Amino acid sequence: MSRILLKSFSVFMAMVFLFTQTLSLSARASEAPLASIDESVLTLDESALNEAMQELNVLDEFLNENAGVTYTDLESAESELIIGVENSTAPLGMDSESEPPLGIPSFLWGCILGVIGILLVYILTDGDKDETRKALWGMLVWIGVWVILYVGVFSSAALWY
Amino acid sequence: MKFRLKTAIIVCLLGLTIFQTVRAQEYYRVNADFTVKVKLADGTMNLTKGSVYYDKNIQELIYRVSFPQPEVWVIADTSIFKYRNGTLYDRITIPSVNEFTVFHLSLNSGISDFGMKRSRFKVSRVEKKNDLVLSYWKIPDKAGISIDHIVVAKKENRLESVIMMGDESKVLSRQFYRNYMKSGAFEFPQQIVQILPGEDGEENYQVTEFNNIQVNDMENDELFRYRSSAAN
Repeated sequence: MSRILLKSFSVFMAMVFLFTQTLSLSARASEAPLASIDESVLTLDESALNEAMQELNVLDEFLNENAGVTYTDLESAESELIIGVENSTAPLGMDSESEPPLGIPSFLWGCILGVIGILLVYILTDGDKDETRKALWGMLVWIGVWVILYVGVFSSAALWY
Repeated sequence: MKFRLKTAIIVCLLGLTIFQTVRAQEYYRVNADFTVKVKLADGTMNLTKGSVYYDKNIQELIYRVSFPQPEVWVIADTSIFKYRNGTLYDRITIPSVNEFTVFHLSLNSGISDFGMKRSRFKVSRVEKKNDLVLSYWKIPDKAGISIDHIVVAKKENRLESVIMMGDESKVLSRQFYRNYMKSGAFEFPQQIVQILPGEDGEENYQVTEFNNIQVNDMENDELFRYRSSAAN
């Protein structure tokens, strides 16, 4: 009986030993806990929000009462409701449009600086494919203009001689 | 033998009834009228109105815009397709976002934790502040974005706010989910307020409002899938 107990105990101890070894191997340095957030961040200043939205709420109410009215309609009626309001569609809000690098159109980057322009656009826009494509179009247009000019100048020079 | 047949029929009928009930509780599409109002700290304003359609099986988020001008935006996979008068006029590549939109999360009962539980992010801390339960979700460095961690605040198991934090505990964005509409087990916020702090501490506001929210509309199938030849 004591032999069986001893054997079981040794097997158990061996397993514990193996288990702790495995754990110590897979254990990683624990990260510092994240700091608790300030409570004020979680509250919304209603009065500031209402003040900010005042003009847009008036425009919204007008549009609810006049379905189908577009920005162009209000513009041609010289409506005061659209003073300071952009004529751009943004259903996704502030994240709708990607900005070209330094506010200069990507097409111009490619057109003026060629391959370097494309590379700069790619880097500055964090690999934005659409902006990079615009820069590529810019470079291709520049090449096209050069080819036309070159052929034109070459043929007129050939005619001259 | 007769008794066994009767039992089998009753079991089958019972099974069918339960199946129908479970199916009826499955939410798969949502549509609403929306208004997005943006007021930037520099005074610039923007207002976009229309209706939005999303079917989680089709996975096309369709915005049918009426103001400032009629157009359709279709967000599918990693692209935004923009149409005017049924013709594509612009296409933008974006990260795949449909599964993290309020529409998809609401239909999959994942809005209460902002979809974090189903993401690859790990909860790093949980705490209680007054009547809010806050969970802190650490973003892996590999993600390559400026967000360091996300704080999700819940009240009575309902999403209240989402705070995006950058390095050195800098607040990048605050979102507040309010005025929930409830239909059975389906819950949808009728107002989302987003505040983005500017460089000098000033605040940029964005308010998204949803009205006439309909869930599982089975009568207007064609509105949940966009075909460029279709009129706006």
